[in-house]
Amino acid sequence: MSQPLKKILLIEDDDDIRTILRVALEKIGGFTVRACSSGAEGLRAVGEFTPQLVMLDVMMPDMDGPTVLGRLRERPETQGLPVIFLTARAAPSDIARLRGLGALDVLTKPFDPMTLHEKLRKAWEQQSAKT
Amino acid sequence: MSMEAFNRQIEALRAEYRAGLPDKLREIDGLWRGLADGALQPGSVLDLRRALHSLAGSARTFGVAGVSEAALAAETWIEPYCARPAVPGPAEQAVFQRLLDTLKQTAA
Repeated sequence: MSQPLKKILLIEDDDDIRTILRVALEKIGGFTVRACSSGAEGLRAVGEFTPQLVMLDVMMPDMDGPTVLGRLRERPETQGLPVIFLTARAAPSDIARLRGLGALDVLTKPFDPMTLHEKLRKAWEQQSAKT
Repeated sequence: MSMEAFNRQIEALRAEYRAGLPDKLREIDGLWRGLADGALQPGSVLDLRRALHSLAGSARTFGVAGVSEAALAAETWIEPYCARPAVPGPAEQAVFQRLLDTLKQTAA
């Protein structure tokens, strides 16, 4: 059985979404969260923060979520790091494409701040059960 | 933190978001006007789309679903112009302007 989920790296360029996500994850979920506003910042933070899970926005200006995921997969130390995409596009084809990139899950915006932590824990437990 | 305190914090964030909506709409309007009158390069259509996408993604989470839907409609409409990128022609601009007007009315 793996460790319970505790440390989450959040990479989201939208200030408002990043703030409400952080509050929801820390205050209700009880997670330790490191929040980054760009893919480049997130990639720099991942080494020192050593998250168990990354929540990654799909559409960001400097480097989009799939590119960040690709960079993580290139590094041996983050090759298997679970990533959950955040996207405003809920079309089944978009979600299937993101899952196909190797994401653990895809969460669509809007999200309910009250129940977000449950979704993350569920995805984490499913992942743990597989490994 | 108690659930009550958390709810208060979320409500405060939502109120702050709603208070900031006019600034977001001004930014979108400024980008659109700049594109329409040629003051901005066609590549700025990507910034316009990004701003609409951001609004579409966040507004519903902050309790203003109508704004989210109106922003999504505008984002979807402008998206084909991002691949080239290009500025819509005069006749098409009227269509987009109506979508923006709807967005502003919904947010008001």
